[in-house]
Amino acid sequence: MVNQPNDLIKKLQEGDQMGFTALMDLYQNMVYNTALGIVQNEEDADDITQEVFEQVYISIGLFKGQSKLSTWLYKITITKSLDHIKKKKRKKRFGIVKSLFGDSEVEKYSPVEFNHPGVQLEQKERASELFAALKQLPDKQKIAFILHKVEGQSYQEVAEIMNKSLNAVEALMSRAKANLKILLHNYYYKNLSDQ
Amino acid sequence: MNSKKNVDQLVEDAFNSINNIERASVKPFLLSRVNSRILSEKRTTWWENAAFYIGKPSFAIPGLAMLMLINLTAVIFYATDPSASIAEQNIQASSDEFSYSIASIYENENTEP
Repeated sequence: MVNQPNDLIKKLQEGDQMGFTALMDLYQNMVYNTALGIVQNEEDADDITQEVFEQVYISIGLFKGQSKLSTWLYKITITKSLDHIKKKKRKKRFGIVKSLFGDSEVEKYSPVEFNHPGVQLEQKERASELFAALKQLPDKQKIAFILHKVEGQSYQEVAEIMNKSLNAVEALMSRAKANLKILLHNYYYKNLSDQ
Repeated sequence: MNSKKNVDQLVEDAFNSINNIERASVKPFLLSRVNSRILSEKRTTWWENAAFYIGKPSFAIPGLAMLMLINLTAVIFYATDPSASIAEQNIQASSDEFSYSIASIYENENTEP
């Protein structure tokens, strides 16, 4: 039975399939939920999770063990998720250009409203509004907020994952909260005035 | 004033809505899907490996030199081909004999001095 991350890394580097299975058992929910928080789409998060573990399988030999295995996995997940968002935006732009030239094929995009499956039923509406606002934050603020608030990581761990100092993470978090407040205020004022 | 209070409350509620967020579960059979992805990746790497070896200078430079040599040989061979020049002579001879020159109405007008 392989449980300790150090044993896991050793087994993985030896190409042990059981080690890979154990790694996935341990970290699949962590990877999936991080990706889900960033991309806000369950299918995309599932794709990213697969990509992350494929990447881990290929490049486990490059892992030197200088950081925690979970930190390394978080880093890969964040990179893949941000790449995915960029790719999607590019596709969307290309779709608009295609539609200008009369191509009627409309691509499916994720719905605007995202309901996180882990949010309690009575909180769903407010949470989806928060996630919609979160989408509009700059990448670094968004990542810091998700890692701390959704993934429950401490500031120190967020700093390690993001390769930043503790002060930088604190600053990112306070800017993220301030920006979210502004975005949510604007949203609710608009909604109240429309009613 | 009242609406500001409401909005502040809504913002506060939005922030608090993820306080007890639970982890979502991945779809079943993730391991199988990842394994099949890795296998398909392995299948494509054979071609990548082939391209890598063909692209190596130790393989590519002699390969290109060989291609150029074949081309050059073909050009030289056809340029000095005696059968090609005989055929050209025949065409020239029949052209002289039957006067292939193109006649036009302007030439007909000027036939008499």
